[in-house]
Amino acid sequence: MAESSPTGVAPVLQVHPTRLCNIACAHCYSGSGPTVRGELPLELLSDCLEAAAGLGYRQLAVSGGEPLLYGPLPELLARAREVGMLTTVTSNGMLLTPRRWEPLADLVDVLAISIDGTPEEHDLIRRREGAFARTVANLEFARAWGGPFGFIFTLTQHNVDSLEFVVRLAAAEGARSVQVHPLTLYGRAEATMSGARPDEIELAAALCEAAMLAHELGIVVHLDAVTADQLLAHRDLLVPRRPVRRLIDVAPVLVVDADGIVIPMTHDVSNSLRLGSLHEERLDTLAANWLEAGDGDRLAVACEQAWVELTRTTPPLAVYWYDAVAAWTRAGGPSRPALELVPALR
Amino acid sequence: MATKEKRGSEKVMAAWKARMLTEASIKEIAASFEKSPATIEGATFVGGERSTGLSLSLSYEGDDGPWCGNDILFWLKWHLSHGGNPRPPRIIINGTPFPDLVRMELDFGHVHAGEQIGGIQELASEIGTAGFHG
Repeated sequence: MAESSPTGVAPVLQVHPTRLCNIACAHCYSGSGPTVRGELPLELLSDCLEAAAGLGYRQLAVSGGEPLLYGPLPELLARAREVGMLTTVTSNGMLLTPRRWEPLADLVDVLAISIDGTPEEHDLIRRREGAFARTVANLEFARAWGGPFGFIFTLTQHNVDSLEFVVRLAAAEGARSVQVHPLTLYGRAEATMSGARPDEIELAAALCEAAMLAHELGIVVHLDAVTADQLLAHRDLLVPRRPVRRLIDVAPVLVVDADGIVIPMTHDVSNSLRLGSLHEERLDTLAANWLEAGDGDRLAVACEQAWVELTRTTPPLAVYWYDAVAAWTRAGGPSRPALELVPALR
Repeated sequence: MATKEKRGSEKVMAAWKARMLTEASIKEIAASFEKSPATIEGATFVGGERSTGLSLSLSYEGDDGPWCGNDILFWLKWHLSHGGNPRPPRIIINGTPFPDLVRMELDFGHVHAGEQIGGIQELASEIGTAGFHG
């Protein structure tokens, strides 16, 4: 059985092998698009997978750009299987044709397809008229495949009312789950959607909607947020113990962006806490150096600082935990940079 | 992009208040009033085919008058389960200190405040014309 992490799921290696995408979504945190180039070689990622498995990562999540446009995707997924990882692929679904899917069908454990609301809302955020219709038309191939597929819905300040539509669509189309991911203001989203990050009220409303819809429709609806009660009750799961000895203890999600940069937790963690580039060192070397330099402890301190700040008075109704920690690593809360606090806390 | 839009949660709340009556929720009302001694003098659905509310005109005679409190309790509980934007019941009591007749109008779901649905308002004016005083 795969080792679980503080998030309750097997530690995830999230790889963005290419920035090439057939569309240029407004909320894209990787700045991908049809004219954007930048792709990681298969050999580099194969080495990364082997090292990641050795470090305890048990799931490969391939995102993008559009993963279906990454030529060696079948080989990458096969390599992940070889090292004992589960595989998930996140796609916008527009290119999910039998010709593209057939080579992948036996290599994917879960397929995630992005659906961001009603047809009008989806097309608006995807910045492509007809995107919704094309994606939904291609769901027949996902059903024909027979493996588990789900939807991913990006929650903003303005769209929790569309979650019901998406969950009902999931139920009608045979999807098993809906993952609700709060908008990350990074990459293109920072410029095009500033002010759209969901606040605590929207997160709490989404949690209520998710629970109600899951109960009614029998679909798994998971939101990447914790309630105030969960925040208070699970400090031990949210704040890693120091000294940090293993990467997976402080970074149960490890991101590899299309430049080969390795980032703990989420894209918008402070640059100073990145592990480095796969073009320079293998992942296991980067991880060892990072821990040796005390960066794992610094990230753990940021977790502690975020937790202390959030619970100092009345906690928020709900919070996107990784986003809160990332904010601490960048700015250190209301007054002081978090990293300046580190020596006092260590 | 669209930063001046409403919060999603405000739209959820508005939809909650204005959503259609379900068949199950109407059956609950019917079942409850089968047990009640009230006479249903009128029932008006608001919103046409996509009904958002139901207005009931009820009357209780003689000793049945106090039962209207039980029906108000059901009305409150119904809104806890099914939402809506409840307006307080309108009640006319004829006869004090021992009522001969109690007339009550209950709205279930969302009956728009400005909407004229007849019932007790017309009844009140008829009573006024006929010199019917409580």
